[in-house]
Amino acid sequence: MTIIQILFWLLSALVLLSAIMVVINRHPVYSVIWLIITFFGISGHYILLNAQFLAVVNIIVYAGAIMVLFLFVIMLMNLNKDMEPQKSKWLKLVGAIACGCLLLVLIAALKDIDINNQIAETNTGNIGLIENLGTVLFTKYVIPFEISSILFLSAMIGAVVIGKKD
Amino acid sequence: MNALIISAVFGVIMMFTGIFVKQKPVTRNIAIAGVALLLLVNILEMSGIDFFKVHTAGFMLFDRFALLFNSVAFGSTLIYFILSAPDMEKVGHYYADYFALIFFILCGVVLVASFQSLLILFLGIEIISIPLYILTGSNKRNLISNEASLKYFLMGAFSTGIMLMGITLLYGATGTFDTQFMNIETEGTSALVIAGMLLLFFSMAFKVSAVPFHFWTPDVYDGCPTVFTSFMATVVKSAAFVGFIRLFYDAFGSIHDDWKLVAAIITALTLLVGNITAVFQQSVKRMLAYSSISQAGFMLLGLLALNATSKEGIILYATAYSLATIGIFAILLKMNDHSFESFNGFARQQPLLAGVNVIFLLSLAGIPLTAGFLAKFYMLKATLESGDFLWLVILAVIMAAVSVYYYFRLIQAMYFKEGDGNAIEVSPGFKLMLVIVAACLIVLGVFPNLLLNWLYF
Amino acid sequence: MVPVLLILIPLLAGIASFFTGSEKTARFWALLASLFTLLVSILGLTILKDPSYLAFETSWLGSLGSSFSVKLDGMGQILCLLTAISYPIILLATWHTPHKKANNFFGLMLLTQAGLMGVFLAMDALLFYFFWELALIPVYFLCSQWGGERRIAVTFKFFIYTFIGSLLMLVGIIYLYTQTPGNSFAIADFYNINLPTSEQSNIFWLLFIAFAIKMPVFPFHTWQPDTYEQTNYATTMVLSGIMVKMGVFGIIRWLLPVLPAASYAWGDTVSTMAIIGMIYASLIAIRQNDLKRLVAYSSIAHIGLMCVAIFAETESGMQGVMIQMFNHGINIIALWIVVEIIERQFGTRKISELGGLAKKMPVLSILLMIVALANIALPLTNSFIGEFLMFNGIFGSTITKYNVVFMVCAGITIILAAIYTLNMIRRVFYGETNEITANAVDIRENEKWILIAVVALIFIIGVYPQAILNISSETVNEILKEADITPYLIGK
Repeated sequence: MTIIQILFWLLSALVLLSAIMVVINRHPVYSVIWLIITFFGISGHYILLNAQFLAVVNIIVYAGAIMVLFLFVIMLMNLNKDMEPQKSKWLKLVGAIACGCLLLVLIAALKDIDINNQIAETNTGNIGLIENLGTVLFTKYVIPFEISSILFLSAMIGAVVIGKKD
Repeated sequence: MNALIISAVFGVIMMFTGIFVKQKPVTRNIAIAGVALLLLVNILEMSGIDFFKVHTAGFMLFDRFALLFNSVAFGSTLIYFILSAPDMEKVGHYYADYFALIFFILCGVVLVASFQSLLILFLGIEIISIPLYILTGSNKRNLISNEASLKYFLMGAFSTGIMLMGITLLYGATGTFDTQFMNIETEGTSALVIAGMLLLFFSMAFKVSAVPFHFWTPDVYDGCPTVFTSFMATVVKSAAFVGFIRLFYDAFGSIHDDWKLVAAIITALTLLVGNITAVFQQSVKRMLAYSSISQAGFMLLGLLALNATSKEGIILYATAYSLATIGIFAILLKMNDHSFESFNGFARQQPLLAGVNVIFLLSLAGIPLTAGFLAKFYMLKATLESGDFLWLVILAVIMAAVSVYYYFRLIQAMYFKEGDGNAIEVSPGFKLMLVIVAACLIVLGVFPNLLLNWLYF
Repeated sequence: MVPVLLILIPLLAGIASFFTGSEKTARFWALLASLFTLLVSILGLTILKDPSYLAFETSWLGSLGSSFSVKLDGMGQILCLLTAISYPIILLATWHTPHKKANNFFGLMLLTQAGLMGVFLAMDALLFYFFWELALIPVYFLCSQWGGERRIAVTFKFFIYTFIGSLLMLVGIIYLYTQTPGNSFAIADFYNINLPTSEQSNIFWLLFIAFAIKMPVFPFHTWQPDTYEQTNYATTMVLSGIMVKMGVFGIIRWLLPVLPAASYAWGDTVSTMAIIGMIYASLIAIRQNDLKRLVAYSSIAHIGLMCVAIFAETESGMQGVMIQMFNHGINIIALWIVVEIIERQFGTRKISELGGLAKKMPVLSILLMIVALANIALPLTNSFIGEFLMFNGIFGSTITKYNVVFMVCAGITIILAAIYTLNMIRRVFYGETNEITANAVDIRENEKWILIAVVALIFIIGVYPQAILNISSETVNEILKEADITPYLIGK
């Protein structure tokens, strides 16, 4: 087991654990903090894949900007534990069964994957470097890239429509 | 490509209209002209005149099917604007912005109808969804509208997550986003492919509100301002269906046998739940929400069959369903409340409107001589041609008979029940437009080839 | 040309009728159109008998393999004639009945006629289905808008019933269509399909349920008495006189010849259902106190006999069905006319509340007596020929082992029919008058002449049935040839 593999497992465990904590935690502020930890873990994965640029962007945008905004909103709204509505037991049961089925399907799908076959280009791939990423984004993937601008534009208008006072 | 670029441009134009034009009728007319232009350039593209020579690098394919559906979507939107655009004024202050959002949605519709890469499908679905979340919540003073918007957003985001997961698994299995080059039949169906496909299936089923992924639909359609429900339940829904069929036709057509049964079960559930729940509704708006689920059940038959007939059928179905539903919603918008009782005695007050409304309802119920019949006919035919689903076809027709129950309740209220109803006033132009829509339904019901020949010539 | 006119005249006249003004104009317009239709129908039987006039075909849904193909063959001639004759009779008999929004009423009536004509003329399965529904939709509006207290709910039941049936039929038709060599809806191609018996059986039930609901055959009959009771008289006459024939017609043209093996395999089952229905309906008719319901149940019994005779698959039985379809149509319309007169005068249809009408209304009594005797198939009346031929056919059938059983059971219903019909006449027309019937006056001129015309028809056909039998004999032989099951038996 190389150092990369050890790091991979450690980071995966961290991501999973913190993601579970996001859901389990009753207090919204703690949830957000756990979510930030999750993002850090994922950024760690990016670094293992030799995609430092993506790792940095992930931390700046998600963990930095978006999560801080989240925190502000949650604190401003002053959400307490008591305000959380109680779900019925049956609803929980049904949810557990449904998601359990999904889990089962995914595990069944992924268990046959040959892990020894090194799909991930750890340390050797170079697509995540800023130069290569830029080249690919503006040549091969230029059409989806341009189209996503429409997506952002519409989201911006939406934010204005929803957010502005009448 | 014409339509894609021009719809995006018009989205921007409408934003500026909001700043510079203060008169609402002018804004409205610009929007109507915009959609008419979209329809025109799209028809020109069908005839081979392409203004923008953009190399799509295999991300999109503007084939006959996509272009024809675009025309149907633009045509429906044009009718929708002419009939219902004045009612958008009542929703809120951002009249021009609503049009801008709708133009962006149309842009998404074009993407979803013509994608060849899963990336474009994802972008298209998102470009459709995000403006819709906004439109659903656009009536900010109404708590129900807010709730609907939030619900729609959460559910939609969740299903998008599932879709991304599916795309990721498929990419892992095939190493490509391109639906034409996935080579699933030669690569063999690994568990990874199947899981990815099922996740995609579920997320698309969510978008078209197939049972058991339909729980958001009634609440969202009901809470959304009626004028936007009309658009959401028709153009957007048909677009999601076209994307659904295109995805499974291109990417998973070769392993049809592997997912046929799942599709059949979901179709059967959608037909059953959609129709039977619709029977118990007391509000016409909510009834139409459930009716959209049950109509989705019929459209799913086209997905299940997956042959040439089903492609023709989905185009015809989208047209028939959109036109009729837009028409009914346009009339519903003029009513003060949305209960069945408010239609009592409607025929005496507005004989013409009641008459065209009957044609819309008959078309939705699938009575011959209307486009709705031939649409259902094509679906049944496609399913029978693909073989071994006789039970599903029989279930479908029994459910079609159930659907008669709730559609005809409206006819009964209009014609056979006495009531003051609510006095409504409509312009002659509105009436004329509705008559034109009804005439379209009947002409298509007798000569469907007027539309379907575009698929081939 | 003739078949196109038969459809187009009522269709266009019906649409035009919506725009007529007063009730009187609408009424005259409808009568004029129906007389014109009758004229064309008679011309088709006499001067324009040449086959080139009787068939018409033009392309329609080419890509689907469907064409607008209509043809008047023997069976079509009889049923179109029945439709064409019935309409003037119905319109004249209800001449003085007021209708709200008369222009809509007569428009819908004429549209129904167009649909009925189309059903009897269509030689293309999809076209047949189109007309089948076209006949149903106006009837839905007719029944829901003009009729008794519970009409809306009752009509809805009727509509849903028939709609389920017709959709199942649609599935059957599409299935058969996918089995034709070149994917076509033409009847000739349908006749050439040779499916294995098990597949035929599935399709058989899909189609049969549609026809059985329309006829109606037990146990699909529950919509019928309610609908007849609640509907206005003119529509009831159309429903019972002509519309039920759609079911009988459907079986003869689209079921027996298309799916011969399944018809053979399930013939006994169907006949048993029909027999049960006949006895059941007759017994209920005896206990019935409401005149409308009595006629309704009597109709179920008569149609049941036709159903048994069809599945006996003999020439004589089939000829009997042909002539009986016509007879049943005009007889039951005459019965409804009488019931309407009674209800209008006395405001009640209860047999127990009536009595002694013969003294007060002699003309009506005599005419009713003759119609009633025709209803129980006395010799010299038209029904006698029809029922005799049918019984003969059932008895001589080689296709079923139970022909004697069927015949005996069916024979019992004839006796039951005599009981309830004569009992009704005794209680309504004889006995003492009571306060309700004391001031009765005899019937109006228009009703008298209409009833006399019907009675004349009853006698003419009763004495000279050959006129009708000649028309249908060729079609009957063709259908029996197509329905021949020997190829299937040899295969076994």
